[in-house]
Amino acid sequence: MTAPTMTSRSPTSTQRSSPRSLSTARSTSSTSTAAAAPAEDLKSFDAEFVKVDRATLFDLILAANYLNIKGLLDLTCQTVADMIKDNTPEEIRKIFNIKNDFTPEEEAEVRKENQWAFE
Amino acid sequence: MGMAATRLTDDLLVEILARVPAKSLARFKCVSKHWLGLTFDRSHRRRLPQTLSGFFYSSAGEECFLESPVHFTSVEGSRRPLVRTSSAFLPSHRRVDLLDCCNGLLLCRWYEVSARADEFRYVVCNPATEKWVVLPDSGQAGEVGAARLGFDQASPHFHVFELVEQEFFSPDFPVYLIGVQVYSSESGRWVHNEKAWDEHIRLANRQSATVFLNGHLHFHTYDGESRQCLAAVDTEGETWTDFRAPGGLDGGHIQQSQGRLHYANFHQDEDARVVRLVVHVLEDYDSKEWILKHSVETSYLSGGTHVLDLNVDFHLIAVHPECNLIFFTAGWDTTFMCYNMDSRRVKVICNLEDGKPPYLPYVPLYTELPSLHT
Repeated sequence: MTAPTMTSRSPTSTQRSSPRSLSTARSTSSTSTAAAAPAEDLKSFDAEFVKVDRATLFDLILAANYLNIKGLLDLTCQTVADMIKDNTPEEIRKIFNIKNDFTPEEEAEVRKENQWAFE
Repeated sequence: MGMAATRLTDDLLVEILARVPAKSLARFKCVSKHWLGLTFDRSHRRRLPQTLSGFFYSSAGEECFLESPVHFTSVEGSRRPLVRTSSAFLPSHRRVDLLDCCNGLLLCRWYEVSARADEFRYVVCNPATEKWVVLPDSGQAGEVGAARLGFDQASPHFHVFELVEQEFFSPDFPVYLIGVQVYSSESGRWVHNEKAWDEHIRLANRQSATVFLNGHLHFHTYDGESRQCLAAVDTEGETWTDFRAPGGLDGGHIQQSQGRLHYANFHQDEDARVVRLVVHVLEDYDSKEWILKHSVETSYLSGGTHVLDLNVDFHLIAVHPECNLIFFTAGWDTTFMCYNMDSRRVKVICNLEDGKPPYLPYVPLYTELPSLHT
């Protein structure tokens, strides 16, 4: 896979993330012709690969989606899912930079319908 | 940190949310109107984890030759159903009896308008997609003690089990389980198998809940010495196992919660005055060893009033599939309640007035199945 032709289309995310994406792409892309590495080596490679800050992780999701690399998309989305699964709604808003557009009454209503998930 | 996150499209957000547990997703509905909308959106929700949304039940009113209306109550007590509860989307019928609900699918007895009074066919349907299928006749000549549904996310195909009993001979002679008929939606056929045990077992309660787990249907039985057991049969009707259930008073209830088999029943203290609700869990399925999980006095559950008659005053409905909540009805007026095993808090949800068991827990299924059609 050749990188330089990609960067011209979407400079912000792919330019910053390309070098890391490529090494994963080479090991997980279905078009790779390299010999398959042992499963444990690939698994620990994947685990190390996603040990990055959250901003980079989101960049990787965008890059994987844009470059259509399913293995990378699965890995990065699963990593973010594991990171956020115990968070409160307020913590989620901070991570994703979301404004709470519920009124207090509306939020209380939704919370009441899903009360079991908060206990 | 925020910049890349805000550029995530809805599809990418759903890719992430599809991988969180159902309990987390339920909390995230409070994040914003947009996120709440994602969970309701028709194209996204089939990818998102679903959880218990309510219970189907029948009315205690008149039935016989009238259609038994099917009711629905949500987990927090609203009668506003998420899916259409009327069986109007099924082919025209004289009557529909709800038999079982499993991971979003319903099993019903369907009585055609022109059929004889006792002639019915089984129908399996998905109320969320309004798709259904009428099953071929099982050709079962013997007595069907119970019919139940087996379906889980492991396969797009479902199975229907008919537990076959000996013919009723006399009140003194117990009716033993002699075999099973299993329908597979993959083959479109029924297979019949005789029970492969030496000992006699019989169905404990024709209306009791069953659990489909690890490819086996689990159901309550009594063994030859009238001890409470659980039996399990696979989808070919070939492999049968049975194992002891935690002893106690009659009326045990199995349910699957958090991936494990739970068994709830009532125990009477030695002084025979205090009755407890006791919950055991099978932490390690293969060991068949039940571990005590929780115990609480029934008087605490019913708000201090002494429970006079367990059969009338209490009816266990379900353990929440994702957390330690027990749903039950209490009292002659069927007050629908829940009890949190972690916080030990009891909550009255609503009054079900005309409800009668079985109350079937419902988890919506928004994916399309190949075996169902309109």
